[in-house]
Amino acid sequence: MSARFLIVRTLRALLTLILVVTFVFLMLRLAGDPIKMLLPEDTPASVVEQYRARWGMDAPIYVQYIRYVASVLHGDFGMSFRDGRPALQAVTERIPATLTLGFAGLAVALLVGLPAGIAAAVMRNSIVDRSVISFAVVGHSVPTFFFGILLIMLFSMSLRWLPSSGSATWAHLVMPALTIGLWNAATLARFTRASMLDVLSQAYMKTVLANGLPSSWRILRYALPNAAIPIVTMLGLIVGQLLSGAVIVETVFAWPGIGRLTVTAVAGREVAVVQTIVFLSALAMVMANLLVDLIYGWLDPRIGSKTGGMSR
Amino acid sequence: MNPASLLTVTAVSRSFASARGLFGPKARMIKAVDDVTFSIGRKETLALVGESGSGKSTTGRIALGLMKPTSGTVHYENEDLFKLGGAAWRQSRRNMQMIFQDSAGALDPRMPVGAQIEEVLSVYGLAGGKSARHNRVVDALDRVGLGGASIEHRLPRELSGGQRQRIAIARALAMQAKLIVCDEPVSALDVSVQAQIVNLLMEMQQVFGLSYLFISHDLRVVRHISHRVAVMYLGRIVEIASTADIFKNPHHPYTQALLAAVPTTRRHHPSAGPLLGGELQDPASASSGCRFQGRCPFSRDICRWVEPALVEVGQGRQVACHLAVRADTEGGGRA
Amino acid sequence: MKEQAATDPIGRRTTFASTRRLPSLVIAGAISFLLVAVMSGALADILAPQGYNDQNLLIRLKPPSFLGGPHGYYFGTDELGRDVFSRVLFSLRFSLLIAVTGTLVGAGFGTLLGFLAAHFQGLWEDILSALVDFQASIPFMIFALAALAFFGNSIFLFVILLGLYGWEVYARLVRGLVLSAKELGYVEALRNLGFHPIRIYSRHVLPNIGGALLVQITLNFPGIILLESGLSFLGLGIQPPLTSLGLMIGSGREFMTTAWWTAVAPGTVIFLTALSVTLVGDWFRDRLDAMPSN
Repeated sequence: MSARFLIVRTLRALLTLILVVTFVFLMLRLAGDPIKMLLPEDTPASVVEQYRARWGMDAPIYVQYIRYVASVLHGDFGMSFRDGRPALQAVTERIPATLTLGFAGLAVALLVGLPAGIAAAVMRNSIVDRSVISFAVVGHSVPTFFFGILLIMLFSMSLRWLPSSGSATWAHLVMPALTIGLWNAATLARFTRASMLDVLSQAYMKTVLANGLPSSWRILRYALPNAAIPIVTMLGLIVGQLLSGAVIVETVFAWPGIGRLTVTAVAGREVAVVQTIVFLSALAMVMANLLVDLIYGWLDPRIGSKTGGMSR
Repeated sequence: MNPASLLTVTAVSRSFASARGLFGPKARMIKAVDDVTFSIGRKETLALVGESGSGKSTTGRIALGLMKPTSGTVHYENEDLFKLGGAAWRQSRRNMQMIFQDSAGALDPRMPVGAQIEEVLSVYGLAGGKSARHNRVVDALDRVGLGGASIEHRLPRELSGGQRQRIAIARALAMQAKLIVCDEPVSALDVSVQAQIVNLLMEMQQVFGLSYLFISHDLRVVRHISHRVAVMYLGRIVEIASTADIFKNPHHPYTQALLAAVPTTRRHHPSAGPLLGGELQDPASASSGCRFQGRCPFSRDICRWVEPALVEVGQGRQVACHLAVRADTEGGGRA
Repeated sequence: MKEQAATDPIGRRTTFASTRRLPSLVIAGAISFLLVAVMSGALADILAPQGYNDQNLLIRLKPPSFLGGPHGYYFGTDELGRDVFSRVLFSLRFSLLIAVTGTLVGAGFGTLLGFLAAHFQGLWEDILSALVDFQASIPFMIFALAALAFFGNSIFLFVILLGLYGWEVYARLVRGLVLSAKELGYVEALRNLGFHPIRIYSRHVLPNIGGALLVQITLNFPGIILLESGLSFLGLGIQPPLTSLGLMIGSGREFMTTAWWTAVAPGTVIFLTALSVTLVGDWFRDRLDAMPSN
């Protein structure tokens, strides 16, 4: 991987973040008086004035923009309406819960999706392949919130095995993680299958397999590393899906994470909290995509040496 | 600029950047067309011949105003094609049309061919109402030998290559075009059909007073249809003369080689001729001297250092060869 | 929730369901279900036994008639004694209407940008790729919710948001198709006929790439339905007194223990609709791929 590739990618990531900040600033200006939107109604007048002064609401728009960017860089996103705390604090305290759910969901997605995709590709056109395909199609057609509700009905109400809401114990994690994980497993299985089929159809793989029966060891040893390259690019997409999915799944299972906070904040039009979430999730996505790029460049040196031209 | 001529191409050059990154970090410029000048008169057919890669198709596109030259000008009836604005340029299309080698590629694959001719009429308001337009379409089809109502409702893929070429001609006629650039119009067709299309083109020239720029590598067809011939080699015109002069007494060694390679009706071996040895040069390696020297059996010292200019050697005849010029002057107008 | 049905991240086409032709029975089933769903939505006024907001507080949360509930209430009643069956029919109408409108908005916007990028190239392609990068940097659900928080809820914004979901797939598809159409020759030939670019693109190129565009629309449609129902489920999409399938599940969730049918009936309909469209889209694409390309 060349240094140029690294720099180009990092610059692109930074540029995207700047775009996000600019976009939110414009939205705020379009939507109305930013001060009113970012501070609770019962904020003392002195605090309001303090914010007005700090953001220079009378100054030309570009000055306002620069000051806005500066305050974002300082982590000042405004105040939460509900408890009058800084919005950043209200959001960051929810991060661990969402991370827990996200990693658990990712684990489910990987544990189910990868083997399913590999098995389907290796045993192409068999009953296994058909089952995986059906799983992927059906899995993508079930709304996550509906799936979550069905799980609650089955495991909490009929069988009484698992708690239906909250996050007190590990048992609480099972259903949310399954809901969010299986949805992503469907995506992952599909891509893994396609990617593996691609690799298996290539000439060198045919030689490897012709040397004997296609043992699973050979396939894992030779095909998977090559199939992994496109699969890795999926991970950036999956981080986005996890965050999007968290909004719904956390609501269904009353999981106290960022997703649920988003919904309550939007319902209460707590713009300060919402913009904080937008920035943090954009940061997470951009970091994930950057990481994917770097892993990609490391797995496939040809990409790294060709610099950033591949993006278009 | 010759006032009698319909189209005048003056000192036109066109360079392309070679693919970047393949041979190095820097793009190299390839001159596909290099300082080409010619003109076409009314009711005249000028043939542009040469091997593939000689730049004749690029020249055709530039002459038509479809591609901007790197330098040089193209005038149609004293109007500089590349100084026209969008609307005026589009209007100029009525006068000049093109017939492509790939007859299928020239037509919208999803529109019945009759509708494609009719569209031209309606865009230019060339016929009053819908029924008048339809009559014109039927007329045009009739004139190119596709009479009978059944053809107009067919899609391009349901027609043969020859029929599609007739549709393209009919469309150009419907527009009342005066100049048609024919880019290898018959080389994708069966030999029997080739003759029909060529004859149709010649007949239309008689009836409507058309001018053609006829791009081809097939010298037999060229001899049949054209009044004058320009021979191109690696982006330059090396010889330009009347068809009779070119075929009876070619001056440039390259023209001679090309003619030697033509299978005559009696001898059916398409031999490359003893003259054309060596490979077509890479046009990117712009070395000094005559471009043809590497393959020329008569190459002298001067050919290696000085690029011959296209000079007048007789009535309407120009050659770019040191030897031809000398032979001509020495022999006292032997041509 | 974000999915890309047509291409994987490196732009290669992947097959969603199968490279083989799906069993015709499944396709027939999917098409019939969609026909029934569209007809039910369209004819809800005639087919529904009751209006979608007709309350009868005497029969609240009663089970479907086939499980011993009140006669004529095929899917039971909800917490206000409204007929779940009638509400599903009307919800189907609103959900499909909103999803179709959103799809058209997204397909239109993406197609336009794709044409612009292919026609002007250069700067427009850079704009397109910056927009795609930007949209990919915010999880779509968060993006949609933020817009709703900033501007407040309205049907107009809601439809725009649904349209913004997946527009980049159309833009990339159309750009690629137009660029290859330009190489096919007929675009240059038309240009040489002196036709205005707008005529060339609208009368000639669009009909030629219409099939591929239609396939992409079908492949994106399930995602839009799920997004619409997801946002409505959260209470941030379609608002009462209107109704939608997602909204029904959202309110039915409260009564999971006592009246499961209030959530299961609309949930099943969403699932079957999304599944049918996916299957039909795949089948449609296989047919298009099998057709001779002119």
